[in-house]
Amino acid sequence: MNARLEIARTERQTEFGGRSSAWLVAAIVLAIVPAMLLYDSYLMETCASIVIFSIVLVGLDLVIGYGELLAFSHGAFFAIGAYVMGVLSARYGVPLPMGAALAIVANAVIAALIGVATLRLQGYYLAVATLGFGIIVTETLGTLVDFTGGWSGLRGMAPLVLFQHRVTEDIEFYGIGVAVLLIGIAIGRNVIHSRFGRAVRASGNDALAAEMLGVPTSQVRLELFVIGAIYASVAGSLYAAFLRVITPANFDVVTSINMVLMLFLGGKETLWGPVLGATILRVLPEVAEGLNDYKTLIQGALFVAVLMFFPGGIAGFLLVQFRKVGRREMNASIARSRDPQTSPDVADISPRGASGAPVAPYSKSTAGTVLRVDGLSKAFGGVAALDDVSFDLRAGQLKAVIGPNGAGKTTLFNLLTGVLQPNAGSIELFGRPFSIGRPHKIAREGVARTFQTPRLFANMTILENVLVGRHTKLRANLIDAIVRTPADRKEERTAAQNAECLLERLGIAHLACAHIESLSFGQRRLLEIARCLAMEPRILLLDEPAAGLNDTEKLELSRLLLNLRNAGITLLLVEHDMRLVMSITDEILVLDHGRKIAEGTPELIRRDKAVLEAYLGAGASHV
Amino acid sequence: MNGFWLQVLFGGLTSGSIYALVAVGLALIYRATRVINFAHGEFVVIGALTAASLVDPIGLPLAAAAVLGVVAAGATGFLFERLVLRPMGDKPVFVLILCTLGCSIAFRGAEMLLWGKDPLRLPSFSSGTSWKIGGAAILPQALWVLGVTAVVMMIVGFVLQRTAYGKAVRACAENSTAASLAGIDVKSVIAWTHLASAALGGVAGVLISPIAAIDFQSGLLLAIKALTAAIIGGLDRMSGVVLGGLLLGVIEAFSTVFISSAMKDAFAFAILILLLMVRPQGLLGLRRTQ
Repeated sequence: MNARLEIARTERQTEFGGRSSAWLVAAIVLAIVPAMLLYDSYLMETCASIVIFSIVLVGLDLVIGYGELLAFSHGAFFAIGAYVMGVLSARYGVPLPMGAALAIVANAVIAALIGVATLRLQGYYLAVATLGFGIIVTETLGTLVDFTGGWSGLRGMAPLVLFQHRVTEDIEFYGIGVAVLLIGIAIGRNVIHSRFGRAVRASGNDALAAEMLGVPTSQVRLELFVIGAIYASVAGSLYAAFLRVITPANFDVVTSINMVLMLFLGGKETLWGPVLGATILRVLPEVAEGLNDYKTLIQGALFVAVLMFFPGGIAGFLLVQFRKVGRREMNASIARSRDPQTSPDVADISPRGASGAPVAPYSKSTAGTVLRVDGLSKAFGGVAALDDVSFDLRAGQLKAVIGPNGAGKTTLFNLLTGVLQPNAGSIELFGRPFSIGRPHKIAREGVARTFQTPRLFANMTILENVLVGRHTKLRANLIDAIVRTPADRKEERTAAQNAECLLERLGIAHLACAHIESLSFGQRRLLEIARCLAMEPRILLLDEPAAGLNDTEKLELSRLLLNLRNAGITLLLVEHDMRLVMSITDEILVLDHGRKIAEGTPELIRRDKAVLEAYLGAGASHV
Repeated sequence: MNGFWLQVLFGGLTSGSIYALVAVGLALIYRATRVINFAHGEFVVIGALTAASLVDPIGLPLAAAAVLGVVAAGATGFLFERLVLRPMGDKPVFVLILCTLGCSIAFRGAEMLLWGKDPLRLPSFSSGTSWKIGGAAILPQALWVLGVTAVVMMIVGFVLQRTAYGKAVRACAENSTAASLAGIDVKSVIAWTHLASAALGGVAGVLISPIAAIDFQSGLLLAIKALTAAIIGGLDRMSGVVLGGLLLGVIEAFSTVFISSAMKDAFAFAILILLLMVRPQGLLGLRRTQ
């Protein structure tokens, strides 16, 4: 085990090493390019605006890249950042830094309101609603002539004064921009690798799976959206101070779309990639002046070409090259670490051997009811998927739900996890009525769930997947994430160790830093269960855990399930593999066409007439 | 109702018809492929500018120019599907949205190169001064817009409901895999739908060109507006899409009178955002199941 932990750690260091070299590249580019152009003021101006756009893009990468929220409202937040500061300065003489701070507050409030209104929409609806919001903001700015100067522009802003020094030169703005950008990237990186950042990536990749692990996805999205707006606000204020005269046309819908183009061209989900995208898009027209008329055409065509052929952008392409080297090293170290003693050892979880005799047999008399289902019904468009089903699940029980296809088993799971609302009937969890609401609340009560096909977060490492399962047990908030407090570091370290132990017990620790694609189907199953166990659930719902596993894996699975039960977790599984069900369960519930047709011990069910008929057809019981 | 309000209503219905034509094209593509084409507004621009430039510098008769404008728009739509959307395959919605937005920008750049930066206009379809109806002065071109839109809508409705092609489109909308198993040539249905939808956009462009200044920048906003109209009415029902288009035109016309013409887009989108909060499936849309 220690050897593997060592490897996991070195891998993290290598990964960190990779990231620092990326930083180095970015820093060198940022320093050398302007040094070369120092005497050309026009190009210096371009550099300053590239850096300012890059600040927006870091926020955009958080929202669109990591959070997968396709919102086109950042141009509007950029505009609000510029105009709140500009109008306060030009009309009321408020100093620029103070105005910029107030702009952040205004943007945060507006982003929260717009977020509440639009973020529950997905895809096209979110895109069109946020594009519409962008148009509302530019038109409003163009119309409120008394405040904003309308379409002819806002004039009369005071110059930026920092520490009694008037900032006027392009190179000074460039310097400030680089400083803000680097801080922005650092904060962004801290956020992404925090508890909050994992929740963001999980919600973006598979919102339902994230909810099932107790992640409040709506709240996470809203917070992320506000963070993105704050990045845009800071950049907007800086842009206004730099330009001195701003018009709504600086911030129109096409600007928003171009920013997304910069993000994808440079490479999303890297934070530093967009800087490359912004640089290329701003520098291209400068070096090829004859192409000015073709600018729009080239930009659009470039956008489409990147999406079609290089979905990872330039940074993605570079990272693939980096990772090829990294992966070779990692595979070598995994090969070195393999020794016969460290084969999967799920039996260590609790004292139950392969012979199958339970050490602490489940006892009906002492167990309390953890889940009570009463008269549960659910219909889809007139077809009853579940019809008046009642049963109890007692603490420490291992119960299976079986039934032919279409019997309503998965619907039952969806009702028990709050994904669907029942048409009738009630669910009582731990003696309290089921709080009808968001699934994450039910997960928080201690109900974990796996899916028929494992739903893992493909944009995260295996260790991170398990850490998302740990979400409800960790406390770090957004501020902790941003500044990396010692308490937060300690919590993260402990959580990572716990997660590694969990992976160790399931025999997949050597893969902790690998990506999901490298896992076999059976390993994916195990990882999904590990992710649930990280929640320390009281009830674990497993949807066809044995499907797709080979015989050896099935045997390991049944040992694992018994061990979990003996460790005190109540288990409810939907399963088709009768041998597995009959050999390990305490009780079986049989559903057919949405109705409960039998319930009892495996011995009883084996002889039940109704069950045989449901499975083999009428008359089967006479055979 | 006095003449003034009647005139505002009429103006609203005229621009609403254009929104409806564009929105029906968008919704057709959406039904056949589940893709919203943000580049759809460009077909309107291509139709309008092709026709206008054929009349003015080249000197073709109006009718021929109008037909060629529609043909140009349809052909562009056909090529767009073949060269961009089909190779994209079944990429996630996320990528498709961005891709059509990128195409919109590319088209805009190409239109600027071809037709310059200034708006071009077609002459009105029939000469003569405005007609007086109930105290309102109605431009003959507005009647052309309303009349042609009504006829086109009837044709679209007939084709979708009564012909084999229409049934194939609806089958693709339900389930394209099942449709292809049932022997429908899904690829060719999609190609023809793109052609038809872009041609509808071209019709809208040719119709509106005499009374609205269309230039290379008009496309994106038109597409977003038409999508707004379709969402207001309900994307998955053609009657809803037409209603949404007309309603959006009328709302804009009245908000121009009551608020300000500079804020009419802002007002339309504010209504969209409010509607999405209370009824995301649109006014006539069907409730989406999970």
